[in-house]
Amino acid sequence: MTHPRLSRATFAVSVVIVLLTILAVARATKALDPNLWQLLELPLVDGARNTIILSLTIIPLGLGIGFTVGWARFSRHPIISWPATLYVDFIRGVPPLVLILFAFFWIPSLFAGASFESGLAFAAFALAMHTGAYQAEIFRAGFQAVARGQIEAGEAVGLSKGQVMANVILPQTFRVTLPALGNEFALVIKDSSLLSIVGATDLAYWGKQSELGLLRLGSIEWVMLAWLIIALVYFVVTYMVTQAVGAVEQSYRVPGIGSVAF
Amino acid sequence: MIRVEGLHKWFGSLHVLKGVSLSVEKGDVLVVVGPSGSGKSTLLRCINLLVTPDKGSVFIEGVKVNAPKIRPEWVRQQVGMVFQQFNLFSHLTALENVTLGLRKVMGLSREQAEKKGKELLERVGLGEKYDSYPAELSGGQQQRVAIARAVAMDPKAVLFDEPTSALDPEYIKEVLDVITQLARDGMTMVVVSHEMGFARNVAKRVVFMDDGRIIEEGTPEEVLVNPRQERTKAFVAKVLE
Amino acid sequence: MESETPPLRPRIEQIGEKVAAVLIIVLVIGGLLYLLNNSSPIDVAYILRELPSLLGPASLTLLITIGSYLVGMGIGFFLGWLRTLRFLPVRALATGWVESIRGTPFLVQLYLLFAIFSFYSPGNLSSFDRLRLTGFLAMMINTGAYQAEIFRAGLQSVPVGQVEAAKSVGLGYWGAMRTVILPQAVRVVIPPLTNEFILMLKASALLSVIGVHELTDAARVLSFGGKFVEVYVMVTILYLLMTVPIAKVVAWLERRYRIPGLGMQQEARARPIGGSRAIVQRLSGIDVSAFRARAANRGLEPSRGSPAGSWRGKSLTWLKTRLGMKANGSASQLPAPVKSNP
Repeated sequence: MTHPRLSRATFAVSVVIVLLTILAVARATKALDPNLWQLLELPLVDGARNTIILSLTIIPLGLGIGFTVGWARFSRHPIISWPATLYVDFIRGVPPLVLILFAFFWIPSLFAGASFESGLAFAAFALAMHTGAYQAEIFRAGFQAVARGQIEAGEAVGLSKGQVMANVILPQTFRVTLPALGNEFALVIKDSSLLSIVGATDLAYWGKQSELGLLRLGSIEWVMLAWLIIALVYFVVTYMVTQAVGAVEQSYRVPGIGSVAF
Repeated sequence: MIRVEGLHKWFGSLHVLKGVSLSVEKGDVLVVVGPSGSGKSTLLRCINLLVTPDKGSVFIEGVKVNAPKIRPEWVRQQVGMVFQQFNLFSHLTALENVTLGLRKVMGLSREQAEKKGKELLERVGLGEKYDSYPAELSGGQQQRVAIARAVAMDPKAVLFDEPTSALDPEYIKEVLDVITQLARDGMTMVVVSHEMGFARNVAKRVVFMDDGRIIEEGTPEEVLVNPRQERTKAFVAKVLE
Repeated sequence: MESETPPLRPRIEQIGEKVAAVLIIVLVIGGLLYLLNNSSPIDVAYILRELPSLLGPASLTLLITIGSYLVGMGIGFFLGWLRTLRFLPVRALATGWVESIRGTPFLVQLYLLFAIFSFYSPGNLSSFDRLRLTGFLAMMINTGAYQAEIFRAGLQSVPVGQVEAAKSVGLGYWGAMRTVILPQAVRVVIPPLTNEFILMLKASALLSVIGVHELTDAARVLSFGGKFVEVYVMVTILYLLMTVPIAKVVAWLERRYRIPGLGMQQEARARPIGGSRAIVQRLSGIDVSAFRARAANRGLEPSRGSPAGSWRGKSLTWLKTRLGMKANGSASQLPAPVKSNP
């Protein structure tokens, strides 16, 4: 119904529309007042930095967990696949916020050296486990997408099980899971905002903190504007990550290998 | 050269192979025919140990290979296989498909492997297509690459599991030609196929299997033209109609 | 003498593995709970006592989620449909809105709405109602955007060739919608929509942050009493009770309505098809390559039924007779080929 070529025009126009809207709001709220930017400087810079740091920590952890659990799910031995399935179904059925709250408030107190930092670390790990469960499903689908016949053919040529994994299964799984993984990475960046609730000083945290200052020095419009700008920063970070993954996808593209839809 | 004795295989409670014994001499072309479900594919896979027999023995050049001390990878280097669904590695080009075994299993360098790979692709008539991916090749071309891949490992014998059954009619001949040429060049082969013409012209011996057992074996004339057993007669009559 | 029964050891091993799996799971979970509880057993009496107090907030969670999901569905369908129109400004506006919502965290959207409504709150709402309304609106807007994407993909999943064929037969835009597009789109969107509902159930937990007394908030308050593990066990069970049945329905739906080639995961990889086979497939409605792929998927299982080889002949013959071609291959009259994307 829409031609692929037109969707690029759509995107361009909608970007323009969004930017114009933000500019209009900015003008209406007298955003060029330097006071506003002074108030926002620290939140934006520190917040963006911490959001990126958090995401860059959680994503690789999630990848490791996801690959391992996804591989376990794919196994034909119930002793390995059933616990993995239970893990995935459990985590996907519980809100990440609940996991974070439990990890932050309770787990550190079980150990001697409890501190705010350790609570935060556990909370971030809870998020990693959450994204790990979703990535496990993506990897499982990726493993299944490699036709069993090719695995047989690899063995028939004389490759050992490890060689089949490295030379036949993994290259195809990698290509097939990239789009879905890119999507999941974007989700991690957005979910990282949940850590602000337990005190991580990321964008969302600073947004909440600066509300009062903005209200006093300016008006409610400044608060709205601040949130819009924060949303914009999240959007840009998310967009850059998906674009980067898309670029990797393109460079490894091979005719005949599609992707698992998620 | 290849001998199986008393092979039994169960899948769950399904008794697929019920005591199969046969032997193949060097340079022989053995064609196995029979209805679906008779265990032909399973038999082939027992020879190169893709499937482990539950009972019985498999001998390759006198060595019992379904023994715990023998590495299956070594067995599969001795005996190659060509599949019904080609099973080319989709992420590799035709040349890379052929050279993967050469480099990873036999340890050849990239140049040596590519040289040998290109020669083999020439032999099957696909010299210019070495850089194409499986998705860009027709069924017949893919199967010929698969044959090159199997032959590249210098196996003592090659097993063919219904190599033309998944092909469109227009490609069957080109693949059968390659297999026939391979036979004339002296390769030992076990071929599961329904191509009766190929069986009559190229096979040295034909075996008819049904319901997990060998019912009749002999020359192509004996089994296909003048079968003695009732079941063989019924099968041949159905296929030829 | 050949024995007729399969060897016993593999079967015992299989059952043994499953039993061991269950045992390990039970032990690990029990052990974890014990350790997490500061090495004391779970206070089951406490759980049974306090559980009813969580049911009210749980039902609030359900209510807000269901309500915002349904209203969001209307919004989502409308926006998704807008994104399929040819008129660029409308499409761009809808796209801009949807992508903005999808590209930003729900928490930020929630905070923004909270700020707005703290200031510009309508008339005589109690503060609790105001909070719940804010939460409801935030969820509604959020799910509306995500569902817009689902509906857009569903509407666009119908092959272009069929739409053109419908129009060339004389059906107008709405006729084509009703008879060709919507019936097929419905089958495609149901699994992602049910998935979205689960996601919304989990997102509702964030409403606790702005003070709505739903399940997560109730848990937080209750946990001040000190019985952390018990509280979180209860909350977990309640959330799982809400999400797991629906997740199982999603999995069943995906298996049942699997449509080859329409973006859902296939079991075996079918070979790419093109040209005349694509036309044959579209017109006759059966997917030859999936048929073949399923045959391939049987793998080592001995195939039953007709002798191998003739299934292919039979299916091709059947296709040809449906198209009015003679079975032995000579074409009589082919309907005008519809342009399709292979």
